Amino acid sequence: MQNSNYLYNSNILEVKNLNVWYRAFQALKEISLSIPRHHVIACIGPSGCGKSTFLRCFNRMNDLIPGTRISGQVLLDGQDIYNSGVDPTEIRTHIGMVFQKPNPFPKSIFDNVAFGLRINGFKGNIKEAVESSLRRAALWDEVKDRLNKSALTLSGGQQQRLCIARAIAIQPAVILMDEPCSALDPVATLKIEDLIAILKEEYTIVIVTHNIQQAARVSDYTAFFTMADDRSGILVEFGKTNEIFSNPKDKRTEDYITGRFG
Amino acid sequence: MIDTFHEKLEELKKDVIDMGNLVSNNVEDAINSILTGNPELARKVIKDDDKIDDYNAMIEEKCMYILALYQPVARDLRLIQSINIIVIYLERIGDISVNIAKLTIRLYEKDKKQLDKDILEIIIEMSNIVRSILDKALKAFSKEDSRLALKLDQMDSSITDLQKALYQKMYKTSVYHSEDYIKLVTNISLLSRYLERIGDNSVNIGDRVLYYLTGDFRHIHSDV
Repeated sequence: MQNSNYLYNSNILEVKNLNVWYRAFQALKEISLSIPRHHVIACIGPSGCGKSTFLRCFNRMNDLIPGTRISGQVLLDGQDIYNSGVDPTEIRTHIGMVFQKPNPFPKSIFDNVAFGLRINGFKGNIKEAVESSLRRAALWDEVKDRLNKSALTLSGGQQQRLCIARAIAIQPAVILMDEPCSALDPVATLKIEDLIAILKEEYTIVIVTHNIQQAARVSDYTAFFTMADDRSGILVEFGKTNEIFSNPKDKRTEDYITGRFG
Repeated sequence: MIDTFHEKLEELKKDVIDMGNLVSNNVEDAINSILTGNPELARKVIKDDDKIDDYNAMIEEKCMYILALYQPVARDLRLIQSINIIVIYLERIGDISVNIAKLTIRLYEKDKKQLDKDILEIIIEMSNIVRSILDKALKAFSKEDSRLALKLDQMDSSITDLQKALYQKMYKTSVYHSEDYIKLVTNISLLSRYLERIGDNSVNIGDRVLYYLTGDFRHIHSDV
């Protein structure tokens, strides 16, 4: 792993008193939680509760939105990724991301996966690295005979697995997934969910989903966010998924997951 | 869609309460049939048990559909799971009532036998306690009352003492002088066993109510 030079800690990510503002609006308020290594963490909550904002804090994507201000700490293996000396591009090689709609580059299947390797000055055998990533994304058998075809010829589910292959090609420690299955049919969704279960052996995965059954199926831990009275996002409950879905401690969690709110 | 889901849950709870009332009535009738030596009432108990079995199957089917269609979680999931198990206990209590009714028929079909007054008193006391546990378990479910459900185990403990007292009485009065008497004593000890089982199953219902209400698995472990 690329992060082996860091001090080993069972929590790969730690969030401490995180606040995020979009100009005057506070999108996240006082969020603190620890994310254990090699587990899947699901973030659930009603629309507008800040869970996607939360996800984007991990790879400093919020930096790209004008007027964003952040306080608090996000520690990746003990290092604050918001420290002044940290290059966000460097962070993004450790923390990959997969989006709601599959967004392959309008290039060949091979080049999509090789892209990140090339721009990061990969010295090894690119062919092998691409094959390995495509295999780990459970896509290799379906595309091995047409690696030079455009990625846009793939189905939606295949495109999303290609995006996962592209994200893992550069060996990140963490993969962020923002609603990765919402544009996919049930079969493709199931394939991604199976893939998540396999990927957590090597990576830590943080997934935002509106589908609470999906959160229950794929994750080890669940974080439930909601909106405070001033509409800013707060973390209500974070715990083991089987406990959250069988016996949540907070009534707001219970009301949300049982469909009595929102 | 969400509203119909919660309506379905309410409907399901009502089905369990209705089934519970049928079971409670059948327990009462079965006990009365043996206390008053009434084979007619016993036959009604056996016949009414079919309705209980139908409720059991119908509720299980509804639970399956709700699980398949709505994937309930948290409190709703605990409710469905608890109902699935509660109806098994209710169905068993129904079967035990049938067993008691069969005792009545065996003992009283041909001629009336006079039960010893002391023995009769103990059986009446056991019956009252057992019926009270069952009714309280059902009430704990319908009123979602965890404090009431917590009391059941304590009530059940006196059953064992009464059962011992009953055996003592029977040993003392029994002189093994007639086949009829041995038959009576055997049937009465069976009856005490049936009553005890109704109590146990009712306590188990209470434990499932507690799990549903609190989400605490310890309530369904025997050592707590």
